[in-house]
Amino acid sequence: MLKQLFSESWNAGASLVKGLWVTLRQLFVRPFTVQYPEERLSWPARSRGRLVLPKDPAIGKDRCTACLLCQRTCPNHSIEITVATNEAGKRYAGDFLHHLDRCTFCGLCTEVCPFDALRMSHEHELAVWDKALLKRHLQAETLAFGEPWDGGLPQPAAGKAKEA
Amino acid sequence: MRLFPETAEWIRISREWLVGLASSLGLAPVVGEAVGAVVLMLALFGLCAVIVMVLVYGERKISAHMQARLGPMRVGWHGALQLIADTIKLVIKESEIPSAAERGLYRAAPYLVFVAGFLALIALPWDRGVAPVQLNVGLLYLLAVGTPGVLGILIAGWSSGNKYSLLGGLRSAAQMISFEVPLVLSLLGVVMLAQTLDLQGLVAAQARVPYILLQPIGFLVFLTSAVAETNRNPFDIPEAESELTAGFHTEYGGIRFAYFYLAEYVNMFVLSMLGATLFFGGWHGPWLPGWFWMMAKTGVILFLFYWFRWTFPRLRSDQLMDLSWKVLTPLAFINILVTGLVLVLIQ
Repeated sequence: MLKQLFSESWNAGASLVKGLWVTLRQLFVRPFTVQYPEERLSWPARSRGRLVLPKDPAIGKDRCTACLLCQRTCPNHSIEITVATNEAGKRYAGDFLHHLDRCTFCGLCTEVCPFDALRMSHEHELAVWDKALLKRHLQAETLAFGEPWDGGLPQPAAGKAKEA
Repeated sequence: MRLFPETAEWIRISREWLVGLASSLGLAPVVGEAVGAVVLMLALFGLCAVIVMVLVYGERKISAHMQARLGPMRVGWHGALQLIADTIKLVIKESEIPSAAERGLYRAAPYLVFVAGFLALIALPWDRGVAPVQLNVGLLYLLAVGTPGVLGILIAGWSSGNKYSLLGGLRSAAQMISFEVPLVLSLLGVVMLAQTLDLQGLVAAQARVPYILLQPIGFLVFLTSAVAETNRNPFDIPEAESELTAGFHTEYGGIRFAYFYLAEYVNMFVLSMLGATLFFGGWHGPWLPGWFWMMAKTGVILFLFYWFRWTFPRLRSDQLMDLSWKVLTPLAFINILVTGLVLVLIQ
């Protein structure tokens, strides 16, 4: 009876010390915190940020042919393309409107694009004060800023690029 | 050999200077004494605020690093000014009084709780011969003066006009009263060894051996009861933020809540200092000034408080009472018995 009491007390005390030892070791572990605006984690190559229509240096503009596959595949109807035709009768996106407020960054549009014209960049700090700024005209942005073709993004598959 | 002059000497000199100043201005020496006392109290109050800031900052940093986080980093160097920002926020915040509250008591309760902790600071030995008030029954005074804190907590719970606050107040009162018993009993062994209740005398008696080596059981009982007495994890049932949100101070906000917060940390500091005085040999230590050793030893016990908080899971209410009445109190009595026997056999 008394022996049991002592052994139980001993075990209880030992377990407390064990717990203390664990937390003491933890005190000297390097913190995992990333001090966000100053420190950043590097993004995995295929992580999905804002949608872009990159500029293909070979043709000096984006590769979109206004086939509307992305518009149809988008689960939230966040893509609105105005189809235009050039002198040669070839379709292109007159206006590529991306509703950022509806987008869930699922990436289906980039997957379905047969010409690899749509990509997801690593840009992720997309908060704005004005809701109107969430309607983004991707083609105009491409022409204005000239998004580079690779820009740190994985290169398109060779077979797909040839068809453009 | 000491590198720094004795703190007691400085205090004696400034006191004589104040009295001399009063008499040179044609006032009674009592005026000088009174001004000195007021200045001392104000200084102690300021010290209280600074201590609490350091304690809270230390706690946040240590607890963060125990969880592999960084803790406050933004305000000032490594978040050093975080507590200043928090204080400003608490002071300028509107303090609502619930319409069901008993207004007078509701307002008085936080100060009552705080005063209990503050009064204890007065008698503690900060350095060799240095205590704001020298008492030859300092330990008795300390233990007696801590008690009104329970009353303040009960009043806070009752006067909030909220049944859950009242339940929280009762829970806290039950816990604090229960743990006061082993707390006091655990200190009796030390008193028996030193044959004095004077805190300076108790420290002086540890010149060769700190009492933690002679009274290990007493120290363990004291430490456990002190953690419970200050309502800290793993005995923080009065607050239990992850389960109950809060207890007696649910209805408090702004500066009144800040006083409860202040009181909690002042109590923690007082009990840590008491532990350092009675078990770690107070201001005894080589080379450096006594107050440094006193603060270093207090810091060790404070670290234990933080360490326990992030290690042990919270006890249930009945387990808490079991621990107090069935484990700690008998242990404290056995400790007294053994100490007495040994003392008799030695003589």
